[in-house]
Amino acid sequence: MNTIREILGKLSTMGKSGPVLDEPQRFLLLSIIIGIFSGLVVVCFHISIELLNWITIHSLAPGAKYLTPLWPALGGVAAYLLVFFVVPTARGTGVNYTKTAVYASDGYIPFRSVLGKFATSTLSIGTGNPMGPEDPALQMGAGIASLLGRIFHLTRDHMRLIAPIGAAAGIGAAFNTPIAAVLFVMEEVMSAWNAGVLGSIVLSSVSAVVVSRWFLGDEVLYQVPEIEVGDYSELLLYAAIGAVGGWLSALFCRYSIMLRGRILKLRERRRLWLPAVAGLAVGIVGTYAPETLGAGYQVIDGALHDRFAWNLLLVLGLLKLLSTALCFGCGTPGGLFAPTLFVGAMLGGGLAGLAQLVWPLSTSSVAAYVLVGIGVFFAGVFRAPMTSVFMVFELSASYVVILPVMIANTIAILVSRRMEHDSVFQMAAYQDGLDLPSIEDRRETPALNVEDAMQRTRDLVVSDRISVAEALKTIESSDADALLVEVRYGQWRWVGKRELERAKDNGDEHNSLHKTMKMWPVVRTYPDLPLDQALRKLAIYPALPVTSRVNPSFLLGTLTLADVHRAYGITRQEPKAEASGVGSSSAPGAPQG
Amino acid sequence: MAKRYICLVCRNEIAHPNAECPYCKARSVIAEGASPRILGMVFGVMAAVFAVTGFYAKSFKAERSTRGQHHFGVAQELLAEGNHANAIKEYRNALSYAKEEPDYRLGLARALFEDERYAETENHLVDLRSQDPTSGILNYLLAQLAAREGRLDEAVSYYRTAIHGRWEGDTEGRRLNLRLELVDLLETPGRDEQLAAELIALAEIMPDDRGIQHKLGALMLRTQLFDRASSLFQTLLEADPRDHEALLGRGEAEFQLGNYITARTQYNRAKLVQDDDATNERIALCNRIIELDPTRRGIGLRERFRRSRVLIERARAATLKCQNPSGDAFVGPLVALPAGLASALENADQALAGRPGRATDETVEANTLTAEELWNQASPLCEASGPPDPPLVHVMAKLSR
Repeated sequence: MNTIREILGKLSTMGKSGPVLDEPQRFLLLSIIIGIFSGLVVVCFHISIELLNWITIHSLAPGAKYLTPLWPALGGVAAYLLVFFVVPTARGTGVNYTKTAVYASDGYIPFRSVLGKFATSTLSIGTGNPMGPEDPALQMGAGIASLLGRIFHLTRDHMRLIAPIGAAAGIGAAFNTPIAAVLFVMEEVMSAWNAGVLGSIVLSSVSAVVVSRWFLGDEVLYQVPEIEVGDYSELLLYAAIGAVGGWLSALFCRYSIMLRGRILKLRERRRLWLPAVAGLAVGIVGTYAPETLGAGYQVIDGALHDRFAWNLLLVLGLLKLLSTALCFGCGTPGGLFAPTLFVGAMLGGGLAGLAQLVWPLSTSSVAAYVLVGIGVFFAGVFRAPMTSVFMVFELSASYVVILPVMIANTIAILVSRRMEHDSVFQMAAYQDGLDLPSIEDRRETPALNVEDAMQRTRDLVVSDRISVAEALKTIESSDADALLVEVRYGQWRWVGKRELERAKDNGDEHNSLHKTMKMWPVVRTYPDLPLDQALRKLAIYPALPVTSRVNPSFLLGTLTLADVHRAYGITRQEPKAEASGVGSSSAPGAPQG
Repeated sequence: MAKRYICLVCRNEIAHPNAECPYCKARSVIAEGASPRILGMVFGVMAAVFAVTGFYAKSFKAERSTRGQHHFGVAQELLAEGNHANAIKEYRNALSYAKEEPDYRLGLARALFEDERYAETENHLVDLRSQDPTSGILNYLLAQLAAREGRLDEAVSYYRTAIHGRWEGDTEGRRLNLRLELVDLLETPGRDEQLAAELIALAEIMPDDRGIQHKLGALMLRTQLFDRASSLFQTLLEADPRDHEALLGRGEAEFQLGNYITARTQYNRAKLVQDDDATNERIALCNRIIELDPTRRGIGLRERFRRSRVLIERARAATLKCQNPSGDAFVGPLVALPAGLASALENADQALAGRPGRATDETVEANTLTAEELWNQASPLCEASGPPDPPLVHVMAKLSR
């Protein structure tokens, strides 16, 4: 016992010779712990859904099939009642919930929401509602990470990072695709490429997948047959699938969100029975087309193996699309990940079958089109291009289909974006009154660099041999508060306007700067640096020399706070009173940006 | 993870949670890290959850396996009854519980094959084969599939892999059956070389079935494996000397090998068993060949000499007939004769001109060579118009051998 305590102590405490694990290492260790916990919970979640599915939809009892239409309705309403009365935090999409935690509540996700999501999604998906377990798993992972973060008393910054780490673990374990999970979290949850947290996300995702495979086996979700891409003229077909998929995904987003919006306007008590109505509709459809019930992984597997005729594939895709939109709109718990893959697979396979009838040249196997369809619809709905490509790669374990997937996904995103600016998660977030960042918005708002604000002149640079009067004249002709004084080639110091005026008052007007003035050292900056970094330096230095990275002694220009304001389009007000000191000084009326 | 106290404003570490930050004078402090006790507790909970999940997963897998086996059993019965559609349904149900169970997938593939849903069958089989490339049954099913879809090259390749693949139970019996199936497949025109290769392989493991042996003998004749055909028919005749089919087969094999006397003997025996026109024609042809053959053993020098001259005459006549198939005496050759043929004809004329010389081995040899040379030159002409003198053709073929 003492030995264990010692080991734990060594792991956690600082020894005499310094810490055994430094801060980043400890964070990585926590990421693994999160991955393991998330993996374990997702395994239980997966098993629970399957067991409930066996009891309800796939019951071996005689006459059980006559109950098929009722199960989704019962499951839907039971899950919704649970959300309504017991765990309201389990409401909504897991992605938006996690995102809100990251951006609005310092990574705080109540553990109750994990339990709630587990129970409600099991009830909903296990009884045949056409939703997926990935999004709930993502939220559960994030919730577990948040709980562990609180237990370990992480700082606010780390708490914000911990939720996406758990999210990656949850989705990785649920979908058995660790790379796609990492990318999805980066694109959808964090909405940014954050290199600092990438290692932790990868670790948690991988450890969750390892745990999942440990218990559930190495079985992949789909057995993808060998794929050969035929003629390169087929790329036109793939592009067409991309366009159709993009169009359809935009329609799906638009109308499911529209339905959701209308339902949200109803009084809350009235909404209680809507999941039952949706479930009943799903159940009736499922009686005739049982393939549309549940997450539908096996049906995708069937499509990959050319099980269905092309027209049946299109019908199944359409039915799933409608039933998913209905359930999503009515608030049936569950995620959109799996149904999106289902619809995409059916679309790709159906169009492939159609193409084989009319396309004059050779065409690839249906499996290739099914995979492309999966990527296309996913990309169109979630606007996560990297995830959509790598997900297909992970599913197929083949590079052969990557080129068609990339072409088709890009077209799908362009078409979908043209029709609907935002992804389904963003639209749902706006509907819920949340304004969460998206990677697309960030991409559209490019960050400014030093080169966008700097003055490419030497107007603020003077020699230390000039007089105080000349220096004052120079500074007064500009909007700056300080001058850069070149004391030697490639070495600059700064001197403030106030100090120059004081020197003049003291009668040193005609003396040279190097004899009279005390000048302060200054640091260089470079044109390619983000303006944010330069601003941090401007908090200390009133002016910065911008130099070449190749030749740091060569001055390219200068940067002051006024330049930064100009770059951001900020109009500086005329000072009301005589300012003193650097930074709050008498800047002349700033030019308009 | 030791508990540390961090200033929320400047992020510096502070000694005590209630102390003022020595750097920024703030009092907003947050604890970071955890004590060994918390870490131990977390690992303890993890172990407990691990155990619970393990138990849950084990129970789940057991139930899954039971359900899979139940559906698989039903599917096997349905398939045996020929109820393919329901068998497929049950196999799919079984697979939904154990996706990677090869027996379930193989069963599904078989049912799909029987139901003539070839595209899906092939996908499943190719999947399975990628995991077990040397499986005999998988390659065999793929071969059958390819054969049914008319992809003969693929079918042959799969058959060969299946023959050399891994089988359970009576491996040799299965391999023999596969070879026979492959031979059946290769009976299509244009695949004689592949067929011959398979027949040679089969000759090493010849089955006892006389029907099969008859069939293989006939195929050996077709693929010009005359030696092997002759010995196969001989074996059959040893068991039953009055086997008409075997007698004819051996006769034909010997005939093709140039052993016309043996061939005639076999044909005569066949005639005794069953007299028919075809056999009689074959006997007559053998007789005419034997009478023309100057190399036949047991004939005297004079007779050989006479036959060699007859050979030249018939070769000359055949050449002229080939050159002018209509036989119109008034229509001369429209096209000039090739130089080689003209010279050979001239040699033949010279050999036949005047009184026949002395019958010596040299003159017999010289006449035979003259006839052969003329025939070689005339053969291209005769190919177009068809063989004008079948006994001559056979004798010349024998001489060239």
